[in-house]
Amino acid sequence: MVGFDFDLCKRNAFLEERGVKGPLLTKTGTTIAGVIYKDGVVLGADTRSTAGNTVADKNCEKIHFIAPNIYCCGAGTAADTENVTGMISSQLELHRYGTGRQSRVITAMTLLKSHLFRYQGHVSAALVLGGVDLKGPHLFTVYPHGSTDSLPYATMGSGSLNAMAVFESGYEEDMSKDSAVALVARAIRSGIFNDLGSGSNVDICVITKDGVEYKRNYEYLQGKTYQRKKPVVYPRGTAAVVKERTIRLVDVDVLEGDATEAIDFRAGSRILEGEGSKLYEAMAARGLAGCYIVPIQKVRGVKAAHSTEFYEAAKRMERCWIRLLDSRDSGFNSYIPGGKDVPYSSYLEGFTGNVHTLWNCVRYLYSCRHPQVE
Amino acid sequence: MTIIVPSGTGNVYAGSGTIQHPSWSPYDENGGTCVAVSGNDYCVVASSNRLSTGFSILTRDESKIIKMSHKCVIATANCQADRKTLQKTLQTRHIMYMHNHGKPMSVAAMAQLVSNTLYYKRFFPYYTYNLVCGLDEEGKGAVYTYDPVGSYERTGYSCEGTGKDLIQPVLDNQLKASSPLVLPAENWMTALPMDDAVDLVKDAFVSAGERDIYTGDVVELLIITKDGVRTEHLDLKKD
Amino acid sequence: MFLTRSEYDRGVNTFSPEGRLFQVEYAIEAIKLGSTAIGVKTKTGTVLAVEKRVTSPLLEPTSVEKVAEVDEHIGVAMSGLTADARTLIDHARAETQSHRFTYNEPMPVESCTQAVCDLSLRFGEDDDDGGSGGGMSRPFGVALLVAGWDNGSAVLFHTDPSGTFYRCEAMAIGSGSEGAQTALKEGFRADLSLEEAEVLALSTLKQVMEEKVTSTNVDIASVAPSYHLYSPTEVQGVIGRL
Repeated sequence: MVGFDFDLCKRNAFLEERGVKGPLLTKTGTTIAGVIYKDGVVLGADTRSTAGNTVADKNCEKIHFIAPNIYCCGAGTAADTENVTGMISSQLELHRYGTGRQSRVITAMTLLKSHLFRYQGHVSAALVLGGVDLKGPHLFTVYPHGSTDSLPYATMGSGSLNAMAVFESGYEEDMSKDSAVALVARAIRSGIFNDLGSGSNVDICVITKDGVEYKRNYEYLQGKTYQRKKPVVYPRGTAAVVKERTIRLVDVDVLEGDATEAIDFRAGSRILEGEGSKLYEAMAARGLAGCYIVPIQKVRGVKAAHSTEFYEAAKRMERCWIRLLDSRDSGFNSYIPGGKDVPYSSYLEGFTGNVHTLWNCVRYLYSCRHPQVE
Repeated sequence: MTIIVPSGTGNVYAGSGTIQHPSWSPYDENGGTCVAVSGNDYCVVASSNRLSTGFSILTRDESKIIKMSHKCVIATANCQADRKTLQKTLQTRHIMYMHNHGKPMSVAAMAQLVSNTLYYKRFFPYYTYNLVCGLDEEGKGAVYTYDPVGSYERTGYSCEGTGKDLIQPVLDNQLKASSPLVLPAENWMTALPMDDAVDLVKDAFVSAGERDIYTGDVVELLIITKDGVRTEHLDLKKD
Repeated sequence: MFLTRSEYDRGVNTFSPEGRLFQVEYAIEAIKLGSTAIGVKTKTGTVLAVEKRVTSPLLEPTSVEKVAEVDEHIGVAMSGLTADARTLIDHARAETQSHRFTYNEPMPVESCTQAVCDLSLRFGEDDDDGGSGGGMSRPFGVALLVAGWDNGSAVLFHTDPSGTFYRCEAMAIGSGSEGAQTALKEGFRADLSLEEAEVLALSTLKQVMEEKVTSTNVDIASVAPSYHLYSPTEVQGVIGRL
């Protein structure tokens, strides 16, 4: 695994010293919980994620896939929980390819804790890991610093106390699936209604030796309590007209042949499209001012670009250039007024994108005021 | 002009390697949102009844609006201890005023008194966000908005508290003239019919309740007209 | 009343067995020595007219101040020991300004009058009982006519050294008050215009004054709705209408 890039740590510390504030991270305030019951494990989570005081996501997923027989609820920084579970999930998948055996919950737990321990709590993921393997159902909590617990019922996140209160009063050994699901849902609800970091809906995941039941939005608790009676309809002219400018649409002449385009560089509008040689001829015939970019990948009649008429027309144009992408000699040529050739191969060599990408490249070079472009 | 806001507890930012030292603060941030919208002959004042600290709910039913008279109410968000003291002080001052002058305070008088009371604590402010609302001497709706140390201004509508960032732009959009660039300048506030204003305020609270974790449970609306103050309640989400 | 005079007439804190505070009564007597001041209220404003006793041609008449502005909407005419009035007026000015500072509105005239009367009553306090001005040795020997404008209507109050005040339609204080009040009772109507009130006030004053009324020996002020002290030309104009 490739480690983190710490390049900017010193810069950030320096900036922070000077009072520059960093961005707020998305946290999954969160209530997550799990119990072991008669036939397996039930995991539960709320679906609110927060950024400071605001709700960032009203229906996010906090029960992450680890392996077909293992799932993991995550609390903490959203990015950390998602990536840590994702990384461990892929390691386990490789491990399964290598061994041909079902993953064990304790393996996932060990991978998670060693990763978290390595980063000394800076990877803020607080997890409830559950699954069923050859040894039966397992439930673990994993703390951000890397410590773990093996428990019959567990809670994590800002709403962990609310959820644990429910577990402490309602947990029994060897519960049925229905009562285990009901208990977990009640624990999550307790977090949703009493912890401000948790909210919205209840997600449930039941894991048995026979498979997984992932009940996304198992409980949808509350919708909006009021619908606006008079939603505002904006009449025409609500936005004040500050300035008017009429832009004449340029007719696009479609010529026969393969699709390619000519673009007015200054207006940025397409004025011609069609098969290459006819395109050039049409352009030359009209003596069009402006700049043109023409990818010739699909154009067979490249010679047309070098035809005398076209070349003469190009010479007559003021402040323009023509760039050709020739798939056969895989380079660019630029024609500057006066017939001076400037090779662009060093900048756009090997370009194989569409005309729009090429257009962007040219615009970039133009905005840089590269001497060769000027 | 700088509006002064006392610093609360610091946030932990991405990439910050500094150690957070525990410190005691005389202030508690108890959240809550207050909105007021005034019109030609009414004023709608609303406030969420959730009282919270950190990630906990202290109560779901704490009214943040105090009724001073038939024509004047004060809505106060944030630090509960300061709010109670401030509103109690103002209540007392108002009663004394009525004894001394034989009439209830006008909204304008209350507005000035609130400003003085806040500025008196300039260097240990009441950590509160206030709205003084009611009907003025001409019977028109009035909203006065404050910073915690008494800078104030009469406006047509305002929003304070944790939901301010969410609601204020909506009010600006719905109640202000189409563009500040329009010449000649248009009236800076659209006076809605009262029912539309109530509708707008309710919608604003329901929407803020969706995204602001400190706004929820119940919103209390006080509708002030020449006939007196009417109270309404609307349930918000409880999560 | 002087027949019952006894040792009870010295302390301001001591009632006589008949239930009287002699010092206060004496203070009220002192006003009867003062120059006459008259106030007449109309719907559009209140007129104050005062007699200035210019006892010597060597005296500069403008330095005799018997009417004063308290706030934009309150004016006061005085009779009695005018030096005492300064204390009361300073107090009233501070109170009205404080009210403006606190409530951003003009102080109700009755509240201002009440504040003045509260101060008048402090003669009973000790030196060290927490009163801001310390103890007073005697009651103020001055009566005031407080003219003001309150929420769209004119008001007139009369205060005396006992700290009592009354709301009046028209009132006279000072040496000629008895005669003046008789004249006012006859001449006052509720629908007087401000100009008619000026004439009534000044003609009444003229009746009770020993000297001839001139633009220098009377002062006229009105609160309608703002305080305004008449210039000698304006006073002359009123004299011309008598």
